[in-house]
Amino acid sequence: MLVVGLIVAACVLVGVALVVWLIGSFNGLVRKRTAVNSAWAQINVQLKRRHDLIPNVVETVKGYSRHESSTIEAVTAARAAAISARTPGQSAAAEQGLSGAIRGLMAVAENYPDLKASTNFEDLQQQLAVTEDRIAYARQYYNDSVASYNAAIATFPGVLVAAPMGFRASEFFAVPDADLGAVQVQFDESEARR
Amino acid sequence: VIAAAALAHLNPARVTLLVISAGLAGAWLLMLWVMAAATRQPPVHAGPATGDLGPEPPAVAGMLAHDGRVGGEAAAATLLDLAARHVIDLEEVGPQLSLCRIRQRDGQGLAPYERRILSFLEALAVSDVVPAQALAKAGRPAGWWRRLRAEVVADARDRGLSRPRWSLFVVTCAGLLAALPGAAFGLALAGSIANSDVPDGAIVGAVIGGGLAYWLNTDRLTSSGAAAAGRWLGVSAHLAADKALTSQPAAAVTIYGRYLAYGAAFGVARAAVESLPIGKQGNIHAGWSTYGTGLWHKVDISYSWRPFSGRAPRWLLTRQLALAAAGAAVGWLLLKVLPEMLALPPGFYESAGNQEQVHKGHVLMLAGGWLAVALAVVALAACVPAGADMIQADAVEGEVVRTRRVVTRADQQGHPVKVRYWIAVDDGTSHAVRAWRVGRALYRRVNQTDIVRARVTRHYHYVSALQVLVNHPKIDVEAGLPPQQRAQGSADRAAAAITAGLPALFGGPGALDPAALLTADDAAALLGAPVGEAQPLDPRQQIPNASDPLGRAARLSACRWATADGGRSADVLSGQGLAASSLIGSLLARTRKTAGNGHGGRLGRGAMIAGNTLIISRKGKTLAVILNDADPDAAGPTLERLVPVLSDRLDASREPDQAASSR
Repeated sequence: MLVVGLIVAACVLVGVALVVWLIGSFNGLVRKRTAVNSAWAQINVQLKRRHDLIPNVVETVKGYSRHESSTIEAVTAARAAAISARTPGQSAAAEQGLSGAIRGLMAVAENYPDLKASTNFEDLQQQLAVTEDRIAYARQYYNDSVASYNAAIATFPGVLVAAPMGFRASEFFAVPDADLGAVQVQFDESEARR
Repeated sequence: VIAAAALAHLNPARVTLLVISAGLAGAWLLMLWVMAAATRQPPVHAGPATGDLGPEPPAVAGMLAHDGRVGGEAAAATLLDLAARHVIDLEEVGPQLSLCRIRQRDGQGLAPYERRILSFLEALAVSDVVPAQALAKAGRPAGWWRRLRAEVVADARDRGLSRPRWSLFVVTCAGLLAALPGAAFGLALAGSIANSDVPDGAIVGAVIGGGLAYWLNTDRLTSSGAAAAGRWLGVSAHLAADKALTSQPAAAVTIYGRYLAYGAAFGVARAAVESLPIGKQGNIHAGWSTYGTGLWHKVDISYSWRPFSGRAPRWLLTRQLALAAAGAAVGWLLLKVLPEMLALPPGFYESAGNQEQVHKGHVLMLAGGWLAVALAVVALAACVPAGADMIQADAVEGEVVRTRRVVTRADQQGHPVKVRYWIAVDDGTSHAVRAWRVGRALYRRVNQTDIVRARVTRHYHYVSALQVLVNHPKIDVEAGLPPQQRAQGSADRAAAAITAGLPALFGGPGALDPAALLTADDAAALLGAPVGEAQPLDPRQQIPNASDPLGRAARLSACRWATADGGRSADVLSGQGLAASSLIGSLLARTRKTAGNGHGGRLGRGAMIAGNTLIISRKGKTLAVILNDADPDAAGPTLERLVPVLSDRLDASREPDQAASSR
């Protein structure tokens, strides 16, 4: 009788420990997933800020250079693609295209001294540079969060909880190596520092 | 020793002198107590809770609300105030990541302690950006907090809210009076006035008394300071009622504005203060670097306490093999050899006593044998990674993000007996690194922020070679400050004070705005025609001897009002403090020599006119108005009419920096 009681008690203890561990693991994974979602929301805030700036830049460039329609159209199309992207992977690809288009636009601006001298254009350039910088930091933060979350659901013992409870690996906001760095749109040094 | 010498030569006269000396010392202490009681801080009565912010910046407001003490939150509160005033930006990038972005580097219109905070940020910023948590990378610079507190107190003094308990004159007098009991004691020792112990005693007494008076001479709130403190306590109560403020991060300054800065100064916005570790030691489990990515990134650091971490593989392999061999030998001895040697005679087990004895012995022998075998296996298991470490090691290049020293054992006097050293290197590829345990010599070779290349074994992280590629200078958080605000050792600081013109002693708190003292309307009335904009002037070009040490100490400002046709003009010079007063006063002597004393002389209210020059000096502030190319006899009455209004304005004037800060 005593032996049976001991066995039952041991089973109950093991069961309780298992439940506590399950709850702890589940909550830990939920926290990490929330951190990833929050970091992604921060990227979206910065991307939206960039998307909102671009029409102003385009309008300003149009005012000074009326013969650059192809460049301007490329920027507009790239912006539309970036806005319609839904997943981190799609966003990363679309934003890369948008960055390229913006670089082209800035190169065009080099040919128009009046445009370059425009206070409005300078201000927009500055805002764009700051936004790119924020995106770079937000991207780094997001990728760190994703790395931590993905590692948690792929390693033991988290892997035992993750798959049955619907935790899936998150996508990185990947950028090509050439684009890594603080600021993607490179302006004149004095402007970027202001 | 002195007391023993005195006791050895006691006689009635000396006893009398000793009693007099003690009486004088007691009287001196009583005098000091009376002086302290007479200069007690006025009581502070907390005002009603209000959201109306006063003119004082958060650091000064926090000092007033904390009974004249500048707390550790002053730095974070000032940083938040700079953000609220758009000198810097605080941007939230993630739930635990905020960026400080510098917007204005020139520091124009900032108080000295605000410039100090800005300089701190500049020292760490990469492309004008530094994460809030990375502020801890500069650690706790020596003397930085002391100088920050002194600058906040100086600002409060300039605003008339705080002052030292006694003037330098009173402290000096107290020190000199303390010489009397010292001299009496010296006389009691010497027995003769001619003995050198008498002046020695006087000097010792003066030094001790002066030192004590100086030590007690802390700042206290003035009556207006106490009134302001009461008002700020009301603001503090208002902010404390907002429970959400406690948990707001630093980036919430974009919503709360200066309220968050004041909340930080009063200790209400705790989360915001904690998220800005400026001038504080950071978490030893975190480091910040820009290595590899060019972006600031956080690195989580772990420290291995496992046995043999950081040990050379050759030494470890030898040791473990020896241990394994010893364990195997003992096991073989106990499990194999000894039982055979202990072959017992027939009938030994039949004896009850012997049976029990042999049974216990066998159990112990078997247990010891298997324990030895287990130890041998464990030792052999450690040989495998040690052997692998002998074959392969990785080359790592990166920034030293943390150096750490831990005393694990100390003797009874507290001297370290056993110390562990670690260095953590971020190679830019991972957000988590394991610190390497190293020896003392290697630890002393590297500093945080050095770029190093090292060969490190994979399993026990033994650093077999380390080369410092870039010896980074220590982060100088005062690099952006003017020389008199910087600390470069006491000798350099004294030299800086001399070259800057001894501003602390003679320079006064700051210049006054001359165009605000003599306005455009006054100038038009003075010159008899409308005037244009005030033109800035170099005051030192107007004053002889302005380049001597005292002259360099003076903080002067000057401007010129000229009529629209340029035919007539008036120069205005202003300044505060002894040096400014002395220099501007020297203009009178020049005027007398060149133009004669045509009118006036002393006019009362601190005003004097000599020739075409009017000088008013009130409460340490001095103003000069010079009518250029004017007839001295005609200029006198015109200038005299300005005296009442200029005197009042001088009384009410504040230096431009304060005015800007208040705005």
